[in-house]
Amino acid sequence: MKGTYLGELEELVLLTVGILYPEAYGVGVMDEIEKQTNRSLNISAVHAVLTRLEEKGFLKSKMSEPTEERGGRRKRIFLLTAAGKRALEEANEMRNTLFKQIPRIALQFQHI
Amino acid sequence: MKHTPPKWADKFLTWYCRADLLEEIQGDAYELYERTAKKSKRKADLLFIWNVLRFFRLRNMQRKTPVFASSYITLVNSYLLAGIRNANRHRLNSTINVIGLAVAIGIVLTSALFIENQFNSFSYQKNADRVFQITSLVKTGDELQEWGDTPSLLGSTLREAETSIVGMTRVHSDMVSARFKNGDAFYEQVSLVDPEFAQLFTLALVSGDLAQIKSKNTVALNQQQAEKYFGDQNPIGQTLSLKFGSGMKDEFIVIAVFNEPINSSIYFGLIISFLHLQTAEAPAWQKNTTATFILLGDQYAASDLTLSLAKYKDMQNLSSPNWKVDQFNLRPLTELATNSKQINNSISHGAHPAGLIALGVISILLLVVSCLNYVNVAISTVSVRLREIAIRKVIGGSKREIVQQFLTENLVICTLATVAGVLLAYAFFLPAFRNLTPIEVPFQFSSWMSGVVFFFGLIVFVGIVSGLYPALYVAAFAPAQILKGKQQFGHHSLLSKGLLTLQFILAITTVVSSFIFVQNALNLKNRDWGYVHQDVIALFATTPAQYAYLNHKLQANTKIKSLAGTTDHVGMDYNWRTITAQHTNYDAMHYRTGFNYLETINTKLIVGRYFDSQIESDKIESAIVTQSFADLLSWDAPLNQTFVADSNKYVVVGVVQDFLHDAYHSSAPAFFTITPKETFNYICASVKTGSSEATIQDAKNDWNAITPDDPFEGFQQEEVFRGFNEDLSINTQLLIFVACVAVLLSGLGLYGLVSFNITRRLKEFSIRKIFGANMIHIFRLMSKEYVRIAVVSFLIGCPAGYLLINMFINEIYVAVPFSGLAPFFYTLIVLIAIVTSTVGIQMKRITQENPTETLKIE
Repeated sequence: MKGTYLGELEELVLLTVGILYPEAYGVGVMDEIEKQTNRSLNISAVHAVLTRLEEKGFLKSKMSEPTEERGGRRKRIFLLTAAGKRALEEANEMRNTLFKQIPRIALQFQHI
Repeated sequence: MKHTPPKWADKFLTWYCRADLLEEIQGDAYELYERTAKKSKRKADLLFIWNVLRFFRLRNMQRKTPVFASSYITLVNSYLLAGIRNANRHRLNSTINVIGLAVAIGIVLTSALFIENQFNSFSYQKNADRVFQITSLVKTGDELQEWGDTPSLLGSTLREAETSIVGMTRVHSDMVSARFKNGDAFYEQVSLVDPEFAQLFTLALVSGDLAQIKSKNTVALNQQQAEKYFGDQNPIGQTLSLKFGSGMKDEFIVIAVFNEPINSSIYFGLIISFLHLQTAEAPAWQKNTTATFILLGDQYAASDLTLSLAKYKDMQNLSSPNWKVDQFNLRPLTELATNSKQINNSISHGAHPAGLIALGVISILLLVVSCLNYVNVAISTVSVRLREIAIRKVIGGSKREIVQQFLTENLVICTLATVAGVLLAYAFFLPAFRNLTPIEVPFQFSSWMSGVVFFFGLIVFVGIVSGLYPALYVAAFAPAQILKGKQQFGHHSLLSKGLLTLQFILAITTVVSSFIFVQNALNLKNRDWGYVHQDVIALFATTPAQYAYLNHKLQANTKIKSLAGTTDHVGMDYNWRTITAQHTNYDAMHYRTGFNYLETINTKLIVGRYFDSQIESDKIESAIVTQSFADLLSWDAPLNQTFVADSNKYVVVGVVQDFLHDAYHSSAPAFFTITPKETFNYICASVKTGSSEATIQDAKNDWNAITPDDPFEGFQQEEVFRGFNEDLSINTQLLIFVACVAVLLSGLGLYGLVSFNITRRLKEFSIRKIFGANMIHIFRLMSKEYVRIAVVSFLIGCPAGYLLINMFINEIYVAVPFSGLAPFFYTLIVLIAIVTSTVGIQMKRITQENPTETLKIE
C-alpha cells in the first residue's frame, strides 16, 4: 500500500465510485462528477486518478461483461475496498471535527 | 449511421497503449466518441484525437518487450536472402536501380566533398578557432565597405598593448621577381610576415624550420617553387635573389620548404620577414598592409577586443583623413574562405558562394530524380510479386512485417548503390573534377564526424525517399482482391507517368541548355576578332630603359614587319572612362597607345586616317574611335567631332571597325589616343607568318643579356583569350556532363517502366501476334503513351532550357544573338533516340517470345 494521504480530486473520485456502485467505470465517473459538481474532467485524468487509487488500495477492479456500445469492449468496473471506505470515513470525520471547532461567532456574519 | 473515429489516431493509441489497459481505455474513448458523434462527427473526431493525445502518458505506455535476438536475426537474415534472390531474379531492374542511384550518389558525394572542403579551408590549422583577421569598415559615399587592408602599425601596437592577444602576424603581399644563380627569373607572390607567423599558421613543413623567418634575408618557399628553382638540389641553404618593385634587390637564404595546404584559400608563395617592409617604409597608421591576423588567448572571446579596437580607430582617423576607418572588425579565420567575396582586397580567395549553392542544388536534384526513378521501378517490379504478398498476408503476415521485408530488400539495393556510388566518385567523378578545375579536392572529409554525418544523412534520405514509399504501397494491398485477380494494378500509373514526365522535362531542359551553351561557345570562339590576331606578339617592357633596349633590338630583327609600343594592349587591359559629348555622359574603353600600334595589330580603318607621328596635334588631342563608339554618340559623320574624357578634349581623326576586347566585353565602344613612350608597358609586333615563337625566343635572348633579374614575358596575341576559352570549356564540359547524367537517368527510368509494361501486357501481345499483328504495329502500341510524355516534356523543356541558359549567359558572357533552331533540333534527335532505343530494346523480348510459351501457363 502506498501513502494513504487522500487528495481532493482523489476524494471526489472515491466518493463518486461509491455513489455509482456497482457500475462505476471511467466515463461513468467522469459524467457523474460533472453532473454533481459541475466540474468537467478529461477522461485521461479520471483514468489516472482511478489507477492511482487502485494502487493505494482504496479501490479494486474487475472487468465487466462486454457491451455493444463500446464496440464489444469490456469496461473496468471499480469498487470500494475496506481501506477505501475507511479513508473516506476518516476524511469525513476529520472535516467534521475541524468544522465543529470553528467558534460560533466566526460564522455569524450579520454583526460585521 | 455508424461513425468511426480517425483511423490513424486509433492506430496510434493501439500502438503505444499497454496491452492490459488498451481495452478499457479504447472502450472509454470509443464510448465518448459515439456519444459526441451523434451530435457532430467533426467535433467527435477532434475529441477523439484530443483524448488519444491526453492518454499518451508514461503510465499507459507499452513496456518494451524483450526482443528475442536470435529469432529476430533469423528473420532479418531471411529477408536479406529473399532481397538478394529477388534482386538477382529481376536483374535488369536491379541493375537499372543500382546504376541510377549510384551515379546520383557519386555526384552528390563529389560535390559534398568539394563544398565541405571549401567550408573547411582552414582545417589544417591548429589554432584556427582562435585566429582572427582584422578588417576595416570604411565609408565610401553612403556605403560601408569592408576591406582586408589595415594600418601597418595596428598589428604591432595591439600586440604590445592588449594582454588578450598572444600572437600576431601581418601578412603583406607583394610581387617580386625571383632568380636562382643564372637561371630564369620568375614573378612570384611574396608574403612579408611577422616572427609569430608560425604560431598562427601551421603550415606542413617539408624541411627546415619556419621559426627562423624572423631574421632578415631568410626565405621560406613551397615545394613547387623549390623544384622550379633548385631542381634536385637540396633547397635548404641555397641563395635566392629577390628583386622588389622598388628596384631593391637582395639575397635570401632558403631556411624552410613547406607544402601549400591543398584546400587553403590563402596562397602565401614566398615567405620573408616583415622587416623588409620596414626598411622600405616604416609602418605607420596611414600606411596599409594587406592583412593583419591575431591569435587570441584561450580564455578570451572576440567581443573582449571590441572596445580597445574602437580606441585604435581614432588613432587611424587622425592620421589619414582621406581613408577614415569607421570600425575595425574581427573575422574568424575559419569563415574567411566562405566570406572572402564580401571583403574587398581580401587575402583569402574562396570559391563563389553562388557557385557552391548551384552545385549543391544540381546534385541534390539529380539525387531526387534518381530516387523517384527508383520508386517507379521498384513499384513496377512488385507487380510480379502480388501473389506472394497476398499469401503472406493471408497466412497471418502483418502489414508491418511486409513493410519490413520490402524495406530490407530496398536497403540491399540502396547499400549496393551507395558502394557503387562511392567507387564511381573515387575512380571517375573526383578525378574528372580535378581535371576540370584548378582546385585540388582530396577524397576525404575534413573530419571523421562530417563523413559520418554525410553518409548517415545520405542513407536515411535515399532509404526513406526510395525505400519507404514502395514498401508502404505494396503492403496496403488487400489479399482477397489480389487472389481474385481483381487488384487494379497500375492505378498508380498517373503518379509514375507524372514522375517520368518530370524527369524528361529536367533532362530536356538540361540538354537544350547545354546545346545552346555549346553553340554560343562555338560562336564566341569563331567570332571575328576585328583585327588580325595571327602573327602578332606582345612583350612586357615596363621601364623606359627596357622599352628602348627591346625596341632597338627588335628593329633589327628581320622577322618583324611592324613594331609599336603601347601602354594598354588590346585583350589585356580595360580602362573604362566616362566621356562627355553634347553634354551627355557615356562609358567607353580607353586605349593609350603609341604610334603605329593600330597598324601593327591590323585593325580595319573605315574612314579617316591612322595616327601620324609627323602631325604634332596627334600627340595631344587626336583620337581614333571604333564604329560602335560613333554609333553610341549617334554621329553620322564622325570625323572632326569632339568629345571630352578625363578633362581632355579629343578630336576624332579616324574610325576603325569594332573589335573584341575580350569575350566578356565583346565589342564595347572604345577610343584610342597617343601616349608618350615613357608610359609604355608593352612592345607589340606583327611578324612574318609562322615566326611568332621564334621572334619571342629572340627577344628573350636579348632580354636575358641585359636584365636577367626581371622575368621575361612575351606572348602571342592568339593566347590572350586562353584563360577565357578555358573557363568556357570547363563550363561547357560541366554542362554537358549534367545533361548526359539527366539523359541517362531519364533513359533508365523509361527503360524500367517499359519493361514493366511489357511484362504486364505480354499475354495481350502474344494474342495479337497470333492474330497476325506485326512488329511495327506492336511498337506503335507500346510507344504510344511514351511518345505523349516525350512530346509534353519537349514542349515544356525547350523554352525552360532556353530561358534558363540565356539568364546564365547574360549574367556572365556577352549574349550572342539567338542563332537558329539547331539546338532544339539536336535535342529532338536525342529525345527520339532515347525513346526508340529503350522501347526498341524491349521489343526484342516480344519478338523472341514464343506466344505458346506465354499463353500456356494457367
